[in-house]
Amino acid sequence: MEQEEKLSYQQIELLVEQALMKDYTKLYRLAYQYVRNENDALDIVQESAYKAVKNCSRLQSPQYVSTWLYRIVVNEALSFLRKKRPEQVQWGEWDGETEDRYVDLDLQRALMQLPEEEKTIVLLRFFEGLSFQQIAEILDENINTVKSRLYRSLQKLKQMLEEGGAVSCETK
Amino acid sequence: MQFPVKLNEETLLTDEALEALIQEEWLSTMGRLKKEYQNMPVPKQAQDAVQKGIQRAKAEAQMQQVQLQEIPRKKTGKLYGGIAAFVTLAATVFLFVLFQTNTQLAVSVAKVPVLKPVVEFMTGQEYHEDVYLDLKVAHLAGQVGRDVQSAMPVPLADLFEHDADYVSVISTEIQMQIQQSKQDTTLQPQFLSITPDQCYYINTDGCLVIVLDEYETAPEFIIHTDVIAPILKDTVKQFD
Repeated sequence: MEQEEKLSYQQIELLVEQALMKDYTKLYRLAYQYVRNENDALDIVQESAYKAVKNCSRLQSPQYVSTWLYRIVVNEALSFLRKKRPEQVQWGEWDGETEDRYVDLDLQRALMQLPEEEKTIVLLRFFEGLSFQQIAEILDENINTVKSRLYRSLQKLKQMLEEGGAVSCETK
Repeated sequence: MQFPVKLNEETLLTDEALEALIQEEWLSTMGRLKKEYQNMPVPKQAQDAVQKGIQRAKAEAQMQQVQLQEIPRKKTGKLYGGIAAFVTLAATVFLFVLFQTNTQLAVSVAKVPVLKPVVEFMTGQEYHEDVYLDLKVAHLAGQVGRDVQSAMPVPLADLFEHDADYVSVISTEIQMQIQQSKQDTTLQPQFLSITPDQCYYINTDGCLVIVLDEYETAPEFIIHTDVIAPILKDTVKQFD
């Protein structure tokens, strides 16, 4: 393997900052998927930016910067949910107000009922268009685990949709 | 929506099968949701939030380099208490001299409410609080308020015997700690040695902590007292 050019701390910090400023809309959208609330999503984004800069020297290689940022946001969002509702770690409640924004309501609802680790994969794969390899890096999982989890999630989604889209909003 | 092929656990792990499933079954449906997702309005504050996060991290990194660490009450071992007492004593003398010789400083420090009596005591003058403090001084107050004297730096060298090679002792210890902790050293700058006047503080456990601002992965290294005990100064030791 070729030795990469070593970056100084300042260079890594700058790289992380630039990536943050470039990708903040993506990071916000991702965070929003978990909490479904603007203020909470903003908090998560701010905390993620803070942690990214603070720990930028942990970035293994510059090429991973964007997946690394996703990873921080996912972890931050999950820990936010855990703190908020320790009894049930679930995706943000369906607030009803946003319903008319979605085309495929049934699928959207079904998606939100998936456990978060499964939803994260579906989201990163389909919405963010990331590769399995990248998702594996973000979640710190084996690539085959990611694949089988995605497969399982898709089966669940299909099942939920076949049940007539009559997915109840139990969280309400 | 139907599965054309019944996949079992075995076939599922072939990439082709999974890709086919994704392409044929889900891509278009998910594509519509993806559009919604991507069109989701992002509030203007999102950019501010990112900037705030960045600024907060940077400000903290800067503060870490400023040597204003509270010397804690001793918890373990008399030696640590000895170090703290020594630092406190030296700092008090230093402050006293500083305030006597630098009136401007005394005036500005006296603006900090908790420090006012200290400065007045040391200078024998009264200072009136008539100006709002700037952020920097307020921050100083937050750090120092609990233990005024410890704020003044005592050079690292002053903790050790005059001819002791503390630089090597501590550097070797840090190198060992780096070697033990790092899985991936490719991005890390090579650590060679501390400087004779390296930044440090005493942590809440009473241990010497060396602060390396240029090696941010683990910018601080705790030096256990048994490593440096043989070369610690007698004035530090005598409290033992």
